[in-house]
Amino acid sequence: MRTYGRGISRRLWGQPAGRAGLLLAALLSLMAVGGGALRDAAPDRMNLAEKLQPPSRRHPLGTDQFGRDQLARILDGSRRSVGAAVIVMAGVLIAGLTAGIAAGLVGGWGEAAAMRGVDVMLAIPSLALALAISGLLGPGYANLLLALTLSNWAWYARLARSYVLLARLRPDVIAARMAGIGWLRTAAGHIVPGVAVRLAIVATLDLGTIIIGFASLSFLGLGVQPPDAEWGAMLAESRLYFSTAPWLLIAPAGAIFLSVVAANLIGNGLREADE
Amino acid sequence: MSEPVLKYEDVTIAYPNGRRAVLGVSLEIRPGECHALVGESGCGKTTLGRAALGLLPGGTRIQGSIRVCGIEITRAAPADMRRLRGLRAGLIAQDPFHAFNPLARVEDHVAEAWRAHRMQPPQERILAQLTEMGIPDADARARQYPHEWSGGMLQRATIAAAAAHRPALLVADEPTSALDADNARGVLELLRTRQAAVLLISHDLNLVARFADRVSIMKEGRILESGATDEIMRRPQHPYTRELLAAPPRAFKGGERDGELPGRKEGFALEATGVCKTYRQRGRSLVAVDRVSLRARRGEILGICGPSGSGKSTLLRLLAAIEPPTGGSIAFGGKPVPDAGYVMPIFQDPVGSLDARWPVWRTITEPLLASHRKERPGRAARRSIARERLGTIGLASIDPEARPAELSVGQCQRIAILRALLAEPAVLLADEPTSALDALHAGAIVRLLQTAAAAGTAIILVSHDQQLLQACCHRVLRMREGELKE
Repeated sequence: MRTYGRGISRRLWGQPAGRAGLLLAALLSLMAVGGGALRDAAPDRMNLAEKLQPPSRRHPLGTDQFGRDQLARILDGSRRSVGAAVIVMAGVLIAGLTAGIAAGLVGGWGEAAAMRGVDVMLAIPSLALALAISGLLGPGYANLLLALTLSNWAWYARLARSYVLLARLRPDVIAARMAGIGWLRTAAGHIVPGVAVRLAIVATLDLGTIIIGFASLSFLGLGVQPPDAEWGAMLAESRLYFSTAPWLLIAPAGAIFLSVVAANLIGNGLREADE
Repeated sequence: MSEPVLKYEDVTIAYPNGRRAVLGVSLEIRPGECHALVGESGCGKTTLGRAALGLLPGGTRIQGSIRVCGIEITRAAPADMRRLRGLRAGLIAQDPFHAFNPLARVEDHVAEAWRAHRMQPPQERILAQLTEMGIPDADARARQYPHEWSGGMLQRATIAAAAAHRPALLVADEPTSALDADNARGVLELLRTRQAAVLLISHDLNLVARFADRVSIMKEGRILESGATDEIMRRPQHPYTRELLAAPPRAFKGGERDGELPGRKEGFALEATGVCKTYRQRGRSLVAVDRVSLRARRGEILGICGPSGSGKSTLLRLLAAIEPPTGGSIAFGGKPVPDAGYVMPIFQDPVGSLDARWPVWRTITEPLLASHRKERPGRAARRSIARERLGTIGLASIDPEARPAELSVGQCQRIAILRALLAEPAVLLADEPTSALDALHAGAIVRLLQTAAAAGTAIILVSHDQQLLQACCHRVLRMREGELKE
C-alpha cells in the first residue's frame, strides 16, 4: 500500500500536466494556509474613501464598493473556498466508501434497499438537491458543506459497491475466505485499500465540480455570509459593478478557474498514473 | 533473399514506470515464415509482439528500430499505423472470450476488419472466410453471439478477422492458451495455412516447435538463442533451452506415482455423490454439471481433463463450496459444509491470485489469521514463518518483503501453493495451475503438489494438458458436457 502510493505520486509528478496541477494546488494551499500572513491588510477593513479603485501598487487587485482590499479578500477567501472543496471531498469519500463497502459485503436485501436509496439520490440533480438541503438547513458555511456532502455521496457509494462486487470474485479474496478469514478482515486487508485509492482518484476528478458547486451556491447567497470573504460570494457582490469595476469580477472568477484547473490536472494525471 | 516482413534491430523497450521489458533484441522474419518466440510470462515476448503493431501504452520508450514491411514503426504517424494494422499486419489475441464483445454477433466482429478501414464489409467474403477456417454451417452460426461459440471456434473467427485483408504479418500472442489440446493443434495448423508470416508467441516450446520454422528463446528481456526449429530442438546451445526441452513430461515421473497410496486407510477427504448444477437462462435451464460422483482419497492426485466449456470450472466451484449444488451432495470429510481451510484453491492466474499490494510474507501466512484459530502469530513471527517456508520449497533467495510484481509467474504460483498449504487443507483444488508457466516452472509446481500429496493432502488437478495429467495423477477422469467418466 505504502509503496503503491509512493509509486503513483512519483508517476504523477513525472507527467507535465500532473506536475503543473500539483504546483498549482501547492500554490492554492499556500494561499489558503498562509494567506493572512502574506497580506497584512485586513480583508474586512472598509475604507469608503478608496472604494472601487482599479488595481494599483497599493491595491494590486483594486478595491471593492466598500474600499476593502481585493487581494486580501481573495487570500482570505481561499481558506474557505479551497477548504470547502477538501472537506466536502473527504466527507463524500468517507460516506460513499462506508455505505458502498457495507452494501457490497452484506449483499441480499440490505444491499438492494441501500442501492435503491442511492438510485433515488442519483435521480435528483446534485446541485438542485444541495440547494434544497441548504435551503432547509438555512444559509451558512457549515450547512453548505453538509448539503454538498449529502448531495454527492450517493455516486461514490454506487461506485464503491461495484468495486467491492468485483473484488469479491478476485482469487486472493476467494483464497482468504476459504482459509477461514472473516469478511471484516478480508475487506480490511484485500478490498478496502484498493477501492479507497480508486475512489480517491475519481473524487479528485470530481473536485472541480465540487469547487464550482460550492461557489455557485455561495453565489446564490447560501454559503458564507457577509462580511466574510469567499470567492463565490465575492463574485455575487461584484456583479452589480461589472461595467465600472470589472477587476472585482475577474479576480474571484480567475481564482475559481485556477483551482478547478488544478483539480482537473491532478485528477487526470492520477487516472493515468494508476496504470 | 527477399526483404524481411518484420525486422527488429537492437530494440530496447522501457515502460512508463521505468521497467525495461525488452533489452537489445534483434530478430527478423521473412515472408511466409513462422517464427516462434518462446519464454515464460514476463520475459518480454508479448511486449515485443505488441511493439510491432504499435500497441504499447503511451509514454513507452522504444530504442532501436522496428520495421514492418519496410515501415519504421518507431517513427510512424498514427494514421500510418492505423493503415498498417489490419491491412498489412494483424493481431490474434490470447483469450478469444475477451476479444469479443458479448453483445455483438460473431459476423459483426469479422466485418469490423473492413469497417475499421471504412470499407463495406462483403457478406459473402465473411462467410467464405469463416468456412475456410473450418466453421461448419457458417451461414447460420455467424449470426450467433460469442457465448454460443466455443473458445476454439472463436479463436478461428479472430484469425478470420485478422487475416481478412491477407496481411503480410500475423502476430499471434498465445493463441492457444485458452484452448484444449485438440483445438490448439487445429488453430495452429490453420495459422500455418495463411500465406502470412507469423510471429507466434508462446510459453510452450514443445507445442509451438512443431509449427514454427524458426524459434527464438527469450528470458528476462533478452533473446538467448535463435535458430531453425530442428536445430534448436536437436542441438540446443543455451542451458535454459536445454532445461526447457528436458523438463516435460519426464520430470514429472517418479515419486509415488505407481507406489502404494499413502494414508489410504484414512478414508475419503472429499466425496461427491450425484452432484448437479443447473443454471436458469432466459427461461431455459442449462445443465453445467450433470450427476457427477467422485471420491478423492487422502494423498491422492486426481486428474480431471476435458475441453473448455465442459463444466470443469463449475464442478470446482461446487467442490470448493463456493456455490451450492442444485442436486446431489458433497461430503467434506463426512461433513456437509467444509471447515475453514479444509478445501483450498490454487488458481490458473498465479499473479492475480496474490494481493498485488501485499509483501510475500503477508500472503503466505494469511491463513494463520483465520478466525477459527486460537493463536494468531504477530508480524515478526509471520515473517520468520514465511522465510522458513520459502526455504523448504527452494525459494530461500526470495525476499519476504517482495511484492508479486517483482517475482516471476512461476514463483508467484509456488507462493500461492505455500499459502494454500499453510491452511493445512485436506483437499487442494488446482485449476490449470501450470497453464501460464513454462515447462521448467510447471515441473516445480507439479513436484510441490506431489510433495503435498505425499503428506496426505488430496489434490484435484484440473487441466487440459493430457501429458501433465497422465504423468502425475493417480487417476484421471474425463469431463464432457457436464458428465464425468473414468
